[in-house]
Amino acid sequence: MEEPTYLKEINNGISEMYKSIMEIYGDVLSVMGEPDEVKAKEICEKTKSVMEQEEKVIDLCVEALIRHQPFAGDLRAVTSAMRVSYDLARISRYLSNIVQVIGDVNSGLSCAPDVKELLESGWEMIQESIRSYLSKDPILATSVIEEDAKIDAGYRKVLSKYKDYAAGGACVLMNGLIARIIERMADHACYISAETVYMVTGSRIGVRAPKCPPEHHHQ
Amino acid sequence: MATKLVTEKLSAWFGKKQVLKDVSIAFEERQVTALVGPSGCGKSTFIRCLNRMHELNPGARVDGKVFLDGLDIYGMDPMEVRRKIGMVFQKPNPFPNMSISDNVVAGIRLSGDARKSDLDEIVERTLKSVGLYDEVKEDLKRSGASLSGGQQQRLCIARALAMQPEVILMDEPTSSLDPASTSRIEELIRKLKSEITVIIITHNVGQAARISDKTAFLYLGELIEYNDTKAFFESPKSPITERYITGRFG
Repeated sequence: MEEPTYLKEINNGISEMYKSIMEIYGDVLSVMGEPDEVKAKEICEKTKSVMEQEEKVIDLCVEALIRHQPFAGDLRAVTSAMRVSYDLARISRYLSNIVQVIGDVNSGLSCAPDVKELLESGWEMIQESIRSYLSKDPILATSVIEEDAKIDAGYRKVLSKYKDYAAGGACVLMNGLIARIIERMADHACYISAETVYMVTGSRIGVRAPKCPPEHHHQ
Repeated sequence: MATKLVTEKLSAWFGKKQVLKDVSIAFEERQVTALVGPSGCGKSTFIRCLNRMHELNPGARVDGKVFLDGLDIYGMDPMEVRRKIGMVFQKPNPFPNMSISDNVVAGIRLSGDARKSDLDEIVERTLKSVGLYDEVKEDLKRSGASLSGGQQQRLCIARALAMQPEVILMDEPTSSLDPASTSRIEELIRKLKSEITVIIITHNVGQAARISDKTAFLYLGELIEYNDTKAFFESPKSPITERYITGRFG
């Protein structure tokens, strides 16, 4: 079925957000090697632009709801776009937060974050999730959601590696915080993927609810 | 939710042309059900079968069953059926030579159901129920045709309600009205469902989404989909429904 023009405009907005975030990601990788105040400021400014892009997408969605009163797949596409634009904005904020942590915690220290591999895995999920969303591919989306367990495991691995090194101070703190941020970014990749599944099939996957630990049965 | 009106394999013809094919549907009591579908899909014929008006057309024929509270309406007196299952048409059609109050009680007078002393009370109560009383109470003797289009349609709804129907059928009741009048009728329909089962045909899918609890989609005389309105408009099961409600055809 031919996509209405207003949905094309909304998807263009999402694509623009994705391009901006890709740029921010590249900048973050360079800062991870070596703290750079100028670059950090640039990243912060770029993140602000992503927020503006999010507002633009939301405006387009609201206008579509008012002017076109979409139903069925078109309605799901609009509501998903609102959620996905929020997820993308959050991801850009998280990328910016990584740079902030490097700047704040690592100031004057020489330890570089060693969670780069985890970040790369998380970023791959984000890319795949957006690809699944833009190409309306629920199979790819489902595979992204399945990948989240690996990121969760990687996060726990970082925590367990550092928890016995409290004396490690700033480096321990930095790696733990960044790992946590990456874990959250990957969660947003799952949210985007869940929106793809909803948009295409109409079925909701409950990925936004917190993963609670299983109950312990005391004997 | 109790079932009020049920059709079983309902088919209808005009001469040799079959316009309705084996439509089976259960309408829930005190709910608003919207019927949507492209022009000529059989919506009007369908609701005219529900109160035995279709058979009034020369050469018209009906097959299948329609049950009201479990009783087959085709085994009942047609006048009794039409008293229990009222109808409001697309174009407001007050009797032009009658006053507002006479329009309201025209059906009751015809059936000889009420005492003359009851009629004033019925006029006031019914006009109040459609939100028209305060607008016309100063001059109930003026002609019904002198009212605005929206007021005329509310008068016609009042006329149908005066018969105390259990089900009311509405065939595009707002298609000739301005947005404000449409909004008042929609509000009235939502209010009516506390007492009556409402079945409404509309070409405005937005209206169906706003006012109905359940929605049915008819296409080429067949029932394609029938579901809770939210699910119907958010995730229709049939690709034909999807294409229709997103404006790809029809």
